[in-house]
Amino acid sequence: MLIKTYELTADDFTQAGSISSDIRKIAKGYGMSQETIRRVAVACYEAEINMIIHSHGGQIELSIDDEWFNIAFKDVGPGIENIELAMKPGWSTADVVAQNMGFGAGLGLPNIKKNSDTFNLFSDPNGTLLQLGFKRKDTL
Amino acid sequence: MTIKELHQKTDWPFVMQGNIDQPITGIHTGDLLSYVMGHGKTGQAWITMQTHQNIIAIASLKEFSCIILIDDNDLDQQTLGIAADNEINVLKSPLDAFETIKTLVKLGF
Ligand SMILES: Nc1ncnc2c1ncn2[C@@H]1O[C@H](COP(=O)(O)OP(=O)(O)O)[C@@H](O)[C@H]1O
Ligand SMILES: [Mg+2]
Repeated sequence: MLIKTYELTADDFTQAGSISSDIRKIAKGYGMSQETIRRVAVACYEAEINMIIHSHGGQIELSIDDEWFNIAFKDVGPGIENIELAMKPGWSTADVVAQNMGFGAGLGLPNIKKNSDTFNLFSDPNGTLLQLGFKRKDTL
Repeated sequence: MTIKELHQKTDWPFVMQGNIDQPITGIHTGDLLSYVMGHGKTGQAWITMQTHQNIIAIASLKEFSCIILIDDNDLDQQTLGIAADNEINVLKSPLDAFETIKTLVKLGF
């Protein structure tokens, strides 16, 4: 079930993190564990920043079912040229402005992958789709 | 040690106060934000030379106990406003990162 859709503007650093904060609050409201909420926060923040820095903007969709807390990050381009390379820790195309702010360490996508339970990344010049899933309940 | 006790022991001024009675569980230092997102832990005091508004989002998402600015750095008005909204504790040390860390180590961290 789709819970919420957020619009994200490219290059708008002033709002960076606000969508992740909201998603984190919602995760808390659903009673997810502290540890999962922390992973949601890290992954969402990195994905949100990537859309701001690297994309032309797009939408973030939050959906939930009995088992899963899913977030889809959809942008309208320019796409990731080489996904395998982009997944490598330390690889970044961030510009100097972003780097001076402490972004562009090339650790975002690896961090997202590490912190999510399911990770799907699709990209072409028309846009990038990153689908993340988090188990609502920790399996013991 | 709580934020308030750290402030009393170091004389580092508050730039913004939230809940200053919360304990500091450790120290994290870093200026590369993805590194901080990946390695920082809840409750830590975060030492950084970054001063732009995104550090507040990070401190909030990571649930750091406070941010420690170094080199007498300040936050601009907009960032202060965001820090206030999010009730983020921010102190500022007059020292560089290394001397700031040395001070914290002497205090037992
Ligand atoms: N939404 C996106 N649109 C276009 N390119 C992207 C997107 N997300 C990531 N990338 C590309 O993948 C690279 C690696 O991303 P990441 O690991 O988050 O590191 P960083 O953001 O620090 O550069 C980026 O430098 C960029 O080239
Ligand atoms: Mg990134």
